[in-house]
Amino acid sequence: MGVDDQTKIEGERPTEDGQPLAAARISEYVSRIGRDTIVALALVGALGMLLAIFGIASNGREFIGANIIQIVDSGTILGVVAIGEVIVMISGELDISVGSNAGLVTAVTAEVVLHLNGSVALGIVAGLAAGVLTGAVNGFVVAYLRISSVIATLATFSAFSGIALLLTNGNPVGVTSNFLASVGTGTIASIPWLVIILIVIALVAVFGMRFTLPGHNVYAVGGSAEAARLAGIRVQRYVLGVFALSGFCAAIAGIMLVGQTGTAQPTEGSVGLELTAITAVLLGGTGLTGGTGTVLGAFLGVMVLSTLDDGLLLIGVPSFWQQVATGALLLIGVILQDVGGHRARWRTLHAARRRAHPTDVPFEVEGR
Amino acid sequence: MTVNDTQTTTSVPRLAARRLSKLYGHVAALDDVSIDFRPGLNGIIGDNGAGKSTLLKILSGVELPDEGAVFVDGRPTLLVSTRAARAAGIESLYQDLALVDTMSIADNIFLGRERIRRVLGVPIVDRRRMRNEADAALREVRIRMPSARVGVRQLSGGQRQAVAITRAMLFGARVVLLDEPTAALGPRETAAALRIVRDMADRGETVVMVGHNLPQMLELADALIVMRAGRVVASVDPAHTTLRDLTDFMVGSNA
Repeated sequence: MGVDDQTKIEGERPTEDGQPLAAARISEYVSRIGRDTIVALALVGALGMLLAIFGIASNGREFIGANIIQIVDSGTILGVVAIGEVIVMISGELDISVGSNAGLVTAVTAEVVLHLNGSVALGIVAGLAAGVLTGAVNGFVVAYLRISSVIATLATFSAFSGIALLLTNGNPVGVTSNFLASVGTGTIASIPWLVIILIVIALVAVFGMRFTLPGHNVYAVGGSAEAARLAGIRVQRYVLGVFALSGFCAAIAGIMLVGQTGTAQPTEGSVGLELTAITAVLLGGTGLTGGTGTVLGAFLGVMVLSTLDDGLLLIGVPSFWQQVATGALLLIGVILQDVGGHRARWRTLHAARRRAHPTDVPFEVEGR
Repeated sequence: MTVNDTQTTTSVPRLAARRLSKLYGHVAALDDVSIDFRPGLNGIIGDNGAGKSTLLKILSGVELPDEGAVFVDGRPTLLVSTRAARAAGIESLYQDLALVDTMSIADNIFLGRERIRRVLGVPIVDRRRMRNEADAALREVRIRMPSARVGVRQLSGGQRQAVAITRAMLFGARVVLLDEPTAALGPRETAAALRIVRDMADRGETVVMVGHNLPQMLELADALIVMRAGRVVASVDPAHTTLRDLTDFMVGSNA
């Protein structure tokens, strides 16, 4: 076979007129503006629409304006959990244990405060340490013992709730702390502290995942762990790291929960967070296969879910319907995100059918 | 690499295997194999199970030999990992090309060796620089290619090959290992990919290529090594070798 200087690789999919296939053009266009940008804009659009609909439906009962802060406020704990979750999911794994991890952290924090003369600082440090440690346990089991993350975190999901119940004997434990209470319910310049905490964490996470080398490598690991490993990226450390990070976020959420309610709730308010967080992450354009998605998308996904909840509540729709609406929204969102993919596949198939008619292209079998 | 280096290494092989043996269970995948690889295209041929892949795995740091050593520029070098092999200047292109489909061409070319700016000590990925350098390098391989910001998922087999080869070249690899680089390609793409490989060899890189297509290897390679049952059975100059000679060596009828 000749090695010819004139030979050009033409993308293998030229049409008869030598133009690249429409599907390729569309997907190149999409990748130029960025699929992530499109998803983010769509979510912002959805948010605006929901706000408008609820604003009109409630006769503008102060819905827009003061309510936006309230909407963000009602999504703070979920938001922090979702940020940890989206990073895990970009790395190609799943963390089901975040909710029960947050519950465990509330129990650890409360017990430490209770038994160490009300030292809130120690309680917070112990809570954060517990969250990071449990996250690291997840990461170790997934990265080094090579257990599927769904199975591993399903197991720890159950175990962490159990430990939280053991620590508190299954009862809510009161935490009297002015500091935690003021963080959990207080405001500064009429913005709740919890909102500020969420925004700060979100900004750090967006920056870290979008611009820094570790964030870039998480995308590589999620895209193809094998290629990343062959390129010299220490994949196992990254997997351990993202789970520890997710545990850290769950711990922050747990401590926020203690501040908000003034009690350690071993399971109340925390267990169940994981599914809502995963819903928000999926809505935000992150897939289950890893390597795609953004922190911003997850954040916007959380905002859409909170708006939906608050709005339906405001216009007096029974809460059972909220769950139905959440499910419907997730399905619609995910289907819409894949429209580009369906179209491209359909066009490829169509073009392949056209080419499948007998042509003068010689059929050559590779030498073997 | 300095000019001086290249001059002095003409006598010392860039990469050398010395008395390599590797057992899998009771099967000797490699049995006392010694080969010198010099600048140019070094072809390795042999039937399935001849030990070609095992040899390549050892040279690329995926596996350690049970016995023997690998020498890079005359120095014994312990290739304990792909990372160590890369540090020694040995780049591998795998059959499945090991690209991250979800990332751009530029990201893939710089995978594991991203261009970094430090801002307050935080390593920031310099995407613009990576894109520019990737675009420039891709022009050099003379293959029609979209912008380096396009996702690798959208490339054809030959373009993916070009990305992988560009990755190897851009990092000044002294040795490039190719395991059947055209196995997954159509005829036209095969020709283009082989042209890139040949270009690389002409520029003085040491290219080691495992292949099944004997006429192709005979036409392309500067030196050919024939393996059978874990051993080197012949080391020939393709200019003075016929297809018949090669098949005889491979099946062992003139050994």
